[in-house]
Amino acid sequence: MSFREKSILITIVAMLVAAASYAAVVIPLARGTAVDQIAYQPLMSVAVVVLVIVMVAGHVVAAIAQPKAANAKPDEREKLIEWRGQTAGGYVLAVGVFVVLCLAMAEAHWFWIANVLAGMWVLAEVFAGVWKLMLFRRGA
Amino acid sequence: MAKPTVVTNAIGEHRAEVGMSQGELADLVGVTRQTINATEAGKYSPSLEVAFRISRVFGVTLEDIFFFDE
Repeated sequence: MSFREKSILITIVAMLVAAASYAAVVIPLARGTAVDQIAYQPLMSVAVVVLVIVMVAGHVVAAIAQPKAANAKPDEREKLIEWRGQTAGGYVLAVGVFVVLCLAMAEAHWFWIANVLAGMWVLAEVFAGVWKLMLFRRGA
Repeated sequence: MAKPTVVTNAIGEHRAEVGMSQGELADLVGVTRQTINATEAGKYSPSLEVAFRISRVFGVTLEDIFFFDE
């Protein structure tokens, strides 16, 4: 597996770990408490910190294992795959923006707007990552 | 199953003739070993620039190494 593929896999895992950690705390709270009573902001901030830590640690380990590949600039195929993956993720993000816009127009609580926005961002990044891995494996 | 590219090639045959590895060719051309592998396997069509670089490594013309099968 190339360094780029490992990097994508690390990003997917980091996203899922951060999102799952956040959801494991917030979903039980949302079941038993009114959403305007939930202080989701510090929890979401912690999830972002977890995301950054997992991504940095993962990339450091991958770079130690493949230092030459980690320092190399992406070649034309890797750039093409990156572009196609981000485009695919962009479609998911566009759907997310539309959903959040609908929530805002319906005057939903900030809790829902923030969480659906964060959720769709994670979904878009994971989708883009899986799409890129598929292109690396099946052909671009 | 990946859809094969329309442009096929004989990179593998030319490499075998001179005893060159995919990694060595990749270094000479300026791409990754995985890109050479994907090109040989028909999973990726390289740019014209990379195609010319590959043909020049083996000292042949573009059409000696890349084939357009319509």
